[in-house]
Amino acid sequence: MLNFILRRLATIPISILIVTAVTFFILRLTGDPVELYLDITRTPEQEALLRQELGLDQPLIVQYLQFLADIVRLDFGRSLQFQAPAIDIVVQRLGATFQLIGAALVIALVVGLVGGLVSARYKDRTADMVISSLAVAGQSMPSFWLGILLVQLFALNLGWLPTSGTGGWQHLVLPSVTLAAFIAPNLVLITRTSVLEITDELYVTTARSKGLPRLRILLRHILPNALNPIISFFGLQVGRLVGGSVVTETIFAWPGIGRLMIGAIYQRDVPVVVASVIIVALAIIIANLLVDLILSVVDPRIRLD
Amino acid sequence: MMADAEPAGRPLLEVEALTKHFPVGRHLLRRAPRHVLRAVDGVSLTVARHSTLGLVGESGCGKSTLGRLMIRLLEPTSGRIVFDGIDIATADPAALRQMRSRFQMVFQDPLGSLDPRVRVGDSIAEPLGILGEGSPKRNLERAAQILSLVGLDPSVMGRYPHEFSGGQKQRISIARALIVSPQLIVADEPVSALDVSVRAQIVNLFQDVQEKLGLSYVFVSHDLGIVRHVADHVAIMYLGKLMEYGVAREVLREPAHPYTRALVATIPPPRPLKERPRAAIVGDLPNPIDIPRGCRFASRCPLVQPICREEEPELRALDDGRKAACHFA
Ligand SMILES: Nc1ncnc2c1ncn2[C@@H]1O[C@H](COP(=O)(O)OP(=O)(O)OP(=O)(O)O)[C@@H](O)[C@H]1O
Ligand SMILES: [Mg+2]
Repeated sequence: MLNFILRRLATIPISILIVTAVTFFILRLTGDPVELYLDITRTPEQEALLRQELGLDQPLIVQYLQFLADIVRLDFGRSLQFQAPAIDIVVQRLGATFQLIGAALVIALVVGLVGGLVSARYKDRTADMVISSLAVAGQSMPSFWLGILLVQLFALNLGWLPTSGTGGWQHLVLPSVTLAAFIAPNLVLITRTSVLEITDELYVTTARSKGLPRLRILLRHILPNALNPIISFFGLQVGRLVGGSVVTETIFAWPGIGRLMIGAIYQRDVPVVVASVIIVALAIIIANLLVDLILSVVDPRIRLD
Repeated sequence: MMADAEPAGRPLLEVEALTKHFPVGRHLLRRAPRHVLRAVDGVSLTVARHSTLGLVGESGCGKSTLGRLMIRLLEPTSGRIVFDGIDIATADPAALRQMRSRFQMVFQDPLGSLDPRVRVGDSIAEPLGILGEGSPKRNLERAAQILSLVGLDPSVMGRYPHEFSGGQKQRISIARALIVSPQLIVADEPVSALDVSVRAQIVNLFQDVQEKLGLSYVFVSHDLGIVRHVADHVAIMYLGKLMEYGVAREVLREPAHPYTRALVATIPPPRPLKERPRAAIVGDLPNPIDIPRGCRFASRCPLVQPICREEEPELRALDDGRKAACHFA
């Protein structure tokens, strides 16, 4: 187990290396840093001085290594919009994003598991038809559109919830429901399929043949075994959730890392863009590692070493 | 071990005109299915106390379906299943649950029949805890006893199923069936998935257990060699119906039905001879959704006569007491 964790941790630098390389070269391809710092009235002398200061007169590979060295020291430079180190600003916003993703995960998990279980239990009956159709429809509906509809209904028409911003739990409801909608429909369908699959297993038949109560069979034999695909699904969806949170934060003016990143891109605030990309990449890698660890804990057949 | 030695005078299990029809190709909107597959099509038989009924037939003839119906793991379409005097085909769920421990099942696939996430000790002891018999400690002790009965060391109780070999897993499955002290075990091809080298051990285990505990088996197999070894009575099944049914020794020594004769011809002899009779049954099994009129074996029968294609033969008693469904038996 420890061995496995260490090995996985050892692969993090490789992933980070790839992410940084892509980030670095895209940044260089899409604009000259000098333009960011100096406006149109700059003199050629000022420009040359800055190029030297920023190391832009060095070969590209040297610049990249310099860029890497800064990242390793978590030194992303100072934000151009906010007068503070980029990393501090990103870390400050991390909490809001975690809150949003956490709430969305809980909602998606409850809706997905309950919906999937009910659907499987009443397979081919009305309840299943309704739930499955909703899930399929939800899968194909753009979630940002759902977000806008929710705002229209609950914030503007009914006035029950705020349209955007932060404050009490009321502010969290619409954004987290919208973000949950990114993954909940898939989760319903995956839960349904995997519960139905396990229900056909012989050990479930055996449990029935013992006369064990239905609920006991469901909780002890079906659900734990149906969990593997569900947990793996979360591993695959972390990236989607992060992407979804960028959209959601933008719609609801939620002060998280996603909205920060979008703003930074518009402002060409490169230090903040780089810092948030790296932090998000790290978070996704760690989330996937956690998923593997959870899988190995809940399934005795999975040996990590 | 013969049926005559019944203590209560009545058979342990009596199945009468049992049918199971599976709907296939259901219409999208209408309730009625497009076709029915008659997997079990009017089977009547009995299982005597302290004895073994062998259930034989080609793949797809309905052995597993019949086995599951007998202990109502499947809902019958029609027919009676009388277990020790009680009709379990119509028993309500609560009453049925009360009775479930009296009949158990062992499956072919030893891995699939054990929950991969439950330690084998807990797996075996589980029904005791739920059906409320003793303390957890007593229940695990009982599980340990049963494990030794099936030839496993009780020290393995804390392990997970994937840590065992196929034969060991099948021993665990047997232990798990035995823990509730059943009177009947339906064993559905319990050795077919095992290495040839361990088959005999498991077959012998079934026999030892029967001798010690005096329970009955329905032993499903397509291997007539094994059936001849374990079964007191044998039922030969073809496309959902019994073709021949009687005392195993007699039926297998001198088959009355052409289908049984063809099956028997394919048993490898006890001592391998130079040449074996092979592939005595020619032609494919007819489609079970579209069972032909008349005798269902007619399309492959070497002795087929015109009447066979017109009239379906009843399963009727012959002079020596066995039954066969053939116009010419
Ligand atoms: N749940 C089901 N739905 C529809 N058809 C089924 C179902 N279960 C079994 N059948 C069909 O019923 C027939 C009998 O199947 P069954 O499994 O009882 O045969 P079997 O004799 O046990 O075969 P095998 O030797 O391959 O195990 C087959 O044609 C099978 O396809
Ligand atoms: Mg079968």
